[in-house]
Amino acid sequence: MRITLRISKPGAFFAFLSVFLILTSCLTLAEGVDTLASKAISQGFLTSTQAAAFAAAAKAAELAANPLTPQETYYIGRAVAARIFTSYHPYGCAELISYLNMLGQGLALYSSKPEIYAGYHFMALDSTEVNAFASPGGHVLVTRGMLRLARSEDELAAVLAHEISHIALGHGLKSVQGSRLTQIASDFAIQAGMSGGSDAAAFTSAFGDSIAELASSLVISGYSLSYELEADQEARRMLLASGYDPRALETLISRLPRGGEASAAGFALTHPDAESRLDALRRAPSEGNLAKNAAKYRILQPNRDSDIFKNRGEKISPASVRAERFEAARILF
Amino acid sequence: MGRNGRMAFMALLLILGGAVFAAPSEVFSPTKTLMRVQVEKTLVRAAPTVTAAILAEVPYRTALEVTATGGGWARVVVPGSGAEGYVFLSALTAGALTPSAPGAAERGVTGTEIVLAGKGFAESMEQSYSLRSGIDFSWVDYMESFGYPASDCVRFLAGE
Repeated sequence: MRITLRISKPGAFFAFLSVFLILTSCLTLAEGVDTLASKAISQGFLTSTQAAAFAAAAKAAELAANPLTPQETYYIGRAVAARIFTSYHPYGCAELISYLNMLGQGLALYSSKPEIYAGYHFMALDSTEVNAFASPGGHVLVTRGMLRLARSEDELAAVLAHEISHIALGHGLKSVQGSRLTQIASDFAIQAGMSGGSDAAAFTSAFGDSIAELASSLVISGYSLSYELEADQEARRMLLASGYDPRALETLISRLPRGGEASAAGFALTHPDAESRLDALRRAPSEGNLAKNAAKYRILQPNRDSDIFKNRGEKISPASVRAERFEAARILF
Repeated sequence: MGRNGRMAFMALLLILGGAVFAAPSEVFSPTKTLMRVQVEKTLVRAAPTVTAAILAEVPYRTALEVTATGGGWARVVVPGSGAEGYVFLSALTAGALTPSAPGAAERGVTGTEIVLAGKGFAESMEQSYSLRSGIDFSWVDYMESFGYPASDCVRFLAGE
């Protein structure tokens, strides 16, 4: 009896590839395929066309696993923010924007990602609607309606900490289907290989579609309830770590407009679950447990930064300073 | 256990207790690994606190030798000087940070060239998107112009 072991050329290539990749784990998948493909062509395993197809498939697989770099994510965030500015007029009061950025950038230091590609930036939107958005690139946009809802700096910090948490936890891009992310990554890739012309126009238009989808998922659909709850928990931890009252998040959420109110127009759509959020916050870990978690990230050292620690409640009252400056900023809301 | 034994035991407890209380508030776990800067630029500080002196500024994709991590910080070797300093762990990645642009890594031989190439592609995508869609990025640029040093921000939050 004669046993014939039939191995197709591509099959042999994959077997060879598996062993090769195990032995060369320092290479990325695409780099490994490129190196191997040239050997496979020289030994007659593959034609150059087949090798190119495998290399493209490997690149696609790599993109699917980790489709975007922090730099690309930042540029997507810029485009999403620019697109939101087409639906909501910016409110460019420099004094207010400066206050929001000092407060927000300070809070972001207490997040799980104190540094992201180009940092966190904050801006007000000239709308009475109660709403806030966060782009994956670190842009936080808050409507004047939302600012006016806050009755203290603690509550304003709660709004900003919640939006910062969506960014630090990567909720924006996680809300988009993986296939769409791969599409955006390949748009970048194709753009890189083009100098212009009608193909470039087509791919720029595809990139525009992806940005429109991402912006509309933030503005119209909002995040899933589980992402909202996760951002609430993280915001509470950040408030406690930075010396604000973690209960401010609850008091603010309890005053959010419910469906039917005029100011609820956008917010009721993007944040439909105020009651579920309040329930989750009431069941949340005690402040003692939160404090243990807060110690996970230490941006200051008690022994080195004693002047800052001393100021908390002893030398001066941070609460009175905050109340005073909040009242001054409130006129600008 | 005899009297001497009890005293030795008490002394041991005191030493161990003392060691726990005298330990620095931040416990760093030693490691030896290479990580890359995944933010546009990060600051290397003399101590793991945002108020510490700044030793160096390190750009995107620079590989840094990490010698220990703890409390959200990484202890790294400062490129060029060999001294040790601290950066935020969230500013680093173990990933390769290869731009999606095909062949960029092969074409740009040095790290700086790859960074510039990657940024160039992303910028050109933004420019052609802006041109074709008419979407204006000037308000995004405006909001990004507000940036404050971390040490000023923590003092602001503390009520100073």
